[in-house]
Amino acid sequence: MGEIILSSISALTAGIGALTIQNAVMIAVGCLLLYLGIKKGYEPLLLVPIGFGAILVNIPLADLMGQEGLLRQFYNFGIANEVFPCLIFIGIGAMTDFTPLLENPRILLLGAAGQFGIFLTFLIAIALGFDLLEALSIGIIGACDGPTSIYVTSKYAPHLLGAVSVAAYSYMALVPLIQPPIMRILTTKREKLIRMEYPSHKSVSKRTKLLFPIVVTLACCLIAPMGTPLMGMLMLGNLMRESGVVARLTKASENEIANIVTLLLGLAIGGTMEGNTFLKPQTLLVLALGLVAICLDTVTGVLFGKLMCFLTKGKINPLIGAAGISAYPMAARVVQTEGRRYDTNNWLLMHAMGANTGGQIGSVMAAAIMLSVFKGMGLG
Amino acid sequence: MEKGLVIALVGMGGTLFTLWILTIIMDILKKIFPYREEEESGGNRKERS
Repeated sequence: MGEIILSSISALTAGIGALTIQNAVMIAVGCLLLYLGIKKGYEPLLLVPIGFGAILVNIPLADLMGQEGLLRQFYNFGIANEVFPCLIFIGIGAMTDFTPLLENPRILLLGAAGQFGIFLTFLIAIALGFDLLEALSIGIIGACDGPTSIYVTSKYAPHLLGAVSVAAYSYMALVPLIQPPIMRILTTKREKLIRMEYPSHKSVSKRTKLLFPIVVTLACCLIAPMGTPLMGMLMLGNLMRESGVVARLTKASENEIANIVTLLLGLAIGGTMEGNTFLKPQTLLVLALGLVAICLDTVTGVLFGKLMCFLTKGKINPLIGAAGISAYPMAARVVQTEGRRYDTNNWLLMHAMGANTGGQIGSVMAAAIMLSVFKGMGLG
Repeated sequence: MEKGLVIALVGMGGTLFTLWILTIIMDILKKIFPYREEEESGGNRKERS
């Protein structure tokens, strides 16, 4: 009788006894992510499930990332095979209006310049001793694009997935804090005050908007076929939106599908944050490099904006270069706010939205090109 | 590092080049299919399922 009681008590306390310091630290990290998501409102849709997933996976003996574990099932179901990021892209495409970009196509080039931080960080990561595949996964944080970061990292460096995802989503939420100081330093007062013209009448036809996703898919995927799943899904979502004939599918992509996938994706990413594998100096380095990537994106975007300002004889406000990243629509709002700090009647929002949607295409394109180059070199 | 540098340059150049191509395509699309008030207002579609 006493033996049974003892063994029962021992079984009930086994979890507490097996708790390691690493587990405890990661549970605290999970709580911090929950705090940031719930209290501070930083990307709550992702940080809440990620934070809770991090807590769950660090409960000893529950083995949620074991072969039969629940989080492992979510991981295998949607991340290991890269399905979740692609499904999220359909939703993003369905939510994105490319009209501001189509009204001023040259702004798309800012979406390319806004990705240069990816490549510069890639080089820094190599210099710090990461291999090429890891370096790309770290650099891609600079895309400021969660699904793209997850897609590339799950393909090339799954052991960094937790750190990369947390960095991508956390920094995306911190764009309003990260970008303004860089924008202020890199632009003169005269440049900040530049007002950009708005077209006096609508200039984009329905047919153009309809053909845009098809043409972009063909052009981009023929150049960099490895990015077809990402670009294809993004543009499918946009085609559904613009066609107007599949409103139910569009609505489902924007809401139900995106919501369910976001929940499972967040939990599965949280599941990769197990103390023993996550708590390494390498993780801190990944987080630091992610921040560097986003800062460099802003620097290159604004500098390219200055170049365009010079070439157009002052018709482009260089501040909108900062919106050439994928964090939509935060980056565009930051530009608008910064512009109005110096001139309350300066309305840069629609131009910044154009650059921001260009950044979405640019981030996918940058990833697609790198994936194709790696494939061509036999690295992927 | 040398390999990385080449990859980074190809990546930057490739991204910029592709998006430049897209700007040209967008301009062409806008020229071929210019905005016309009457077409846009008359072209409401119904969902088919």
